[in-house]
Amino acid sequence: MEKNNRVHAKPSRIIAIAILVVASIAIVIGVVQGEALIVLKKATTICLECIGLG
Amino acid sequence: MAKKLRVAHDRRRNIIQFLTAVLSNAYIVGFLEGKIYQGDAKAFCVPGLNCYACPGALGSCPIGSLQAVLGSRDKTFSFYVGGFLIAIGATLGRFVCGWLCPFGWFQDLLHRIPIPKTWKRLRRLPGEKFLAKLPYVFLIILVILLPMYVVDLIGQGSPWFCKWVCPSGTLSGLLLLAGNSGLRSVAGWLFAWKNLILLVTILTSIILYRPFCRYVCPLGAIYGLFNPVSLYRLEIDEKACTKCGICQRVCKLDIPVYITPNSTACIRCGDCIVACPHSAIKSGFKTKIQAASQTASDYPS
Repeated sequence: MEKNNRVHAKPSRIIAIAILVVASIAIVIGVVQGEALIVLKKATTICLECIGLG
Repeated sequence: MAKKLRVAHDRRRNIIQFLTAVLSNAYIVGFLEGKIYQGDAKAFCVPGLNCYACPGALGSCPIGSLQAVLGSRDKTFSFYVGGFLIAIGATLGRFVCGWLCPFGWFQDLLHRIPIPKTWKRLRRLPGEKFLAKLPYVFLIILVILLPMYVVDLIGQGSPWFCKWVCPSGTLSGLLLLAGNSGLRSVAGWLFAWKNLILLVTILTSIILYRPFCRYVCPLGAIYGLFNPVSLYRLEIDEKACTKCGICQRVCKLDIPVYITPNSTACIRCGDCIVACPHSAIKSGFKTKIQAASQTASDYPS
């Protein structure tokens, strides 16, 4: 049983870490492409659609 | 003893949810003056559903941000917000929903409202299997496709989910409008529609646990996809588990935890862990079951 647990636990851990690495690279690419500025611009003006006015 | 543990667990979760909601919405001036925070911190997303139009919001809502980037000109994919969502999902899965989401906490509080003795709280709705797939429909159509492809003359898309559905935004709107007479004067039929959705969400939350999270939330849908592989996870100790089903009975989302401990619907509230009489459910980044099995294999007899 212990062996089974180990078998189930390890691959998902490796997958999660691989996904995290890809996600971190994506975040860096997004920042370089100026997406953080788009988010900042949108979030610092009142989103009329969000509150049901626009 | 078991009851004491449950009460302590509930209190701990409630305190963490409260602190997260307060920290995410700590711009007090916004509430007093009917305006929003405009500092650089808003370039960062918060993990839970927390509208950036909320007067107190210090960060950005990831679902709103995703639509903002997808709807902007020349962008076909949001690496920044997509990467953030994937990173949070791969680390915590839907733990965010159970412990760190202000709108989830709002529904939890509503569910604590006492109801008349003749009423009955529901565990699930008829057609649950179909309804549970709706968040994916909202995600694909309203959050991704429509903001990307239905654009105005200058190529700008609209945040469809925020505009037509999201009750978190409406709640923020009510707080904002309370202190801003200028905005109050332009509220029309769209505001009425969104308030109707908010009202339905509030009323349903009283008799059914977390209806918005179960049937609508696209953020939970994204995080849920990562539940089976995330670093934080639940595990069943097969030696200790008797399959008595108590975990499913205490689960407010009616998940058979002993069969699918990392179900995509599980918000990882931890109620099942506390309720298990055999301590067969473990949770964490490295559970005791994993640790024990590694120790055993590191030192073979």
